[in-house]
Amino acid sequence: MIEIAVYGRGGQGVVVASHILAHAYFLAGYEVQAFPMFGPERRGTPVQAYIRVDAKPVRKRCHISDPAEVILLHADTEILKSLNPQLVVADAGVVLPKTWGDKREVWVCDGMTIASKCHLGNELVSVPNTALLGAYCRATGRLKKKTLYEAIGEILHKHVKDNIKACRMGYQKVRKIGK
Amino acid sequence: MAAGTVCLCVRIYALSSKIKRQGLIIPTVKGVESAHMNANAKRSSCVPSSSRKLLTGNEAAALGAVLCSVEVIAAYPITPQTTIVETLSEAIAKGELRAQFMEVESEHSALAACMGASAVGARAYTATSSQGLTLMHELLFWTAGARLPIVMVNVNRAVGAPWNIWADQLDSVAQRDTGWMQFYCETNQEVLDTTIQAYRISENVLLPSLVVMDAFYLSHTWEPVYVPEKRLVTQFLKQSYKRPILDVNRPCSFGALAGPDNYFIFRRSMHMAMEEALCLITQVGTEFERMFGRRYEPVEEYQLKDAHSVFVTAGSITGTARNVVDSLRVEGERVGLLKIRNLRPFPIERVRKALMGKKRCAVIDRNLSVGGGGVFYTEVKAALCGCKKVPKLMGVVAGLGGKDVKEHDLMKVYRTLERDTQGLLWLG
Repeated sequence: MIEIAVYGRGGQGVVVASHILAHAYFLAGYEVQAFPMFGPERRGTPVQAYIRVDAKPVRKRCHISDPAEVILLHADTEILKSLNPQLVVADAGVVLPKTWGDKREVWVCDGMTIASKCHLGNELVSVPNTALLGAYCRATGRLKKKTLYEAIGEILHKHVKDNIKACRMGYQKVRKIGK
Repeated sequence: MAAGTVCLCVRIYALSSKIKRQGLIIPTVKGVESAHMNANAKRSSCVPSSSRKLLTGNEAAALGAVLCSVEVIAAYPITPQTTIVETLSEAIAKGELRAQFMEVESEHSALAACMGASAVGARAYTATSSQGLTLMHELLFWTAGARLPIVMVNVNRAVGAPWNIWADQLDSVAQRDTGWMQFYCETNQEVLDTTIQAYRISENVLLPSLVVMDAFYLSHTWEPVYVPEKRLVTQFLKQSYKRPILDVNRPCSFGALAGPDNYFIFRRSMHMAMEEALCLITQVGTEFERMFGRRYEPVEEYQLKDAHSVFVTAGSITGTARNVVDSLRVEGERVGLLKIRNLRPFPIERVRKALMGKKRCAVIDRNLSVGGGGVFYTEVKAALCGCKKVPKLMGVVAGLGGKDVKEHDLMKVYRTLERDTQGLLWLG
């Protein structure tokens, strides 16, 4: 089983990102479970969402405290210190904890810039979720780009083209750092 | 290009070997493909004409109501039930469901409106949670006493004070004596399937049903759900009998004054209907399996046959407990699980049969009757009273107010149980 966590702030599309990613895995034939951090979500406050992916149905029902893979749209360094992921896909603006060292695989993508180029969000806040999903897709190599686009098309009701564009740009522009 | 491919392969290999080292299983493409093919084969053989969708528990509940072609919905939004009401009003707006949607000013009014609708023969539906259900309390008795087959989904949430919106079964177990049947669901699939079965059972024995799911663990969690065809659900719910309804051409009344003698008869007839419902739940569950490929009973035994120690669970903790049973079995421990689906009617005989002769048993409750202990614990204890070969019983109060119950927590419960501990254990 692979446990994935998405970190960000209310308004960045964290929960939607988890829904799209779970749907993409589901379309690819995996068994999935996805859920937001249980509680009220508000604009600007820290938000987390989780995904479990497996070959057999997921029966376990509890929070994920030690995700193997993390997608960071925004996260406080303090929160990240307690995690020990093997794969990190982060927005360029996220400061990663020094304590992480170079033991893990880190991919970085300027999701905020891509999002504003694709007109996702407004002048106050851009929505980098789909750009980071594109980056994640490249980093893991587990999903086909086409499947991810299909999932975006099925989950989102508006701005589908812009989101697919952002996703493609995230896929192209992501860079692996360290290790 | 070639260098890139090699690099990618090396990276995937490194990652998978790392994950393997940590004891995690990463599904290989082949493994997943075969799992997918198996699922497809299973689908075509025993799940005829259904599609599989990624749904939250709340969406599954709403879709259940749509498939049952409910005619009147009266509901008041409350976290974490809100998206059920939203999904249903959307379904009506899109024309997917032809029903009367009543916006009301409180949960008390919501159930009152459903009662009126049900009394004139309509199929009525509502959904609520926590404080909403407690506000309905008075009318819950009235609905059951008037023998109105309403189905309601309750998203289990703690009851204040202090204020808490997370999973806790207290809201529904507190309505145990109102005369409603109560079904506790483990998965989103079970929420959808139980909603359909609940109408069939309720409309037969003329008692209302409460379909219960844990807040967030089911209500806000997406997972794959088989969605049956509406045509088949309509066929499954086809009525071959008539129930008494209010009709201006044939005047009668519901809930008129009943003296001591008659009141006694009314209440006893409700109890008998509950007993009848217990048989019917199994029967309808079997019929459901024939039509949709999934079987349901008031209790489910998992790895129980040769077990010495048993977990007893209700609701979403069951899934986590199944995993724990499996890993303990790998270690050679003789452990099993009894899932209780119905709190009312309580399957006394089935619980006795399943637990008699076992050595020890831990009943896990995500609820607390203050001063009494967990409600499922006291019910199981009462069911076993007077039996021969009663196991040593331990009540576990866990996960109150949404406190997470992880696999290692249940392992701890097992270790405590193995020391023949009896009485109440507080987890957390």
